[in-house]
Amino acid sequence: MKCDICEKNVGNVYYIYFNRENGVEMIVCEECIKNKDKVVDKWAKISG
Amino acid sequence: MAEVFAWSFLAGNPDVRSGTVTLLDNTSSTVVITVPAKQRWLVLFGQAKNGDDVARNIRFYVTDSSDNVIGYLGFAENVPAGERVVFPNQEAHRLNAGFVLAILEAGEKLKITWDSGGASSGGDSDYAIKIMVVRL
Repeated sequence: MKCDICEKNVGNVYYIYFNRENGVEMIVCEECIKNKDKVVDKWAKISG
Repeated sequence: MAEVFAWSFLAGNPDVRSGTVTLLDNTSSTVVITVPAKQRWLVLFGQAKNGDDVARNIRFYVTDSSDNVIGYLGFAENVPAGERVVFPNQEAHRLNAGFVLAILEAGEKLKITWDSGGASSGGDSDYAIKIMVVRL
């Protein structure tokens, strides 16, 4: 499973964002979750 | 005897898994913590914060390696903005197990989900889980 931000394989800890209304999902690794701006920006792009 | 007990825990060495998570508008967030290979965990207790500006359900649960739910450790409905929830928890809810002896094998996953609370500003949350780790 790869991180949707850095595209590296996630480790033993990762994060899942999911919008039930449109089915959009984003996987974030332990490193990228530390950068709030990256998470918000990527989600904005993915979720449209 | 007392000295022996002081140096050995039958359930391994104490450890903590903790972190932060950014909550997003109208979106559920889940942290997935996988038990590493060659380890066995005894889960003792934990907490999570609702850092959003709307109420959210927060659930602590365990799945197998294929993400099939095995059981719940705790569930809290409508955790107010900025408030925390803990497990074990004695509040009445059908998904609230209270105190359980949760032993997790390698590959099994402990998850914390912040359900979507509807339209919100999002926010910063955190979580922590106390475990005993046995290295096999």
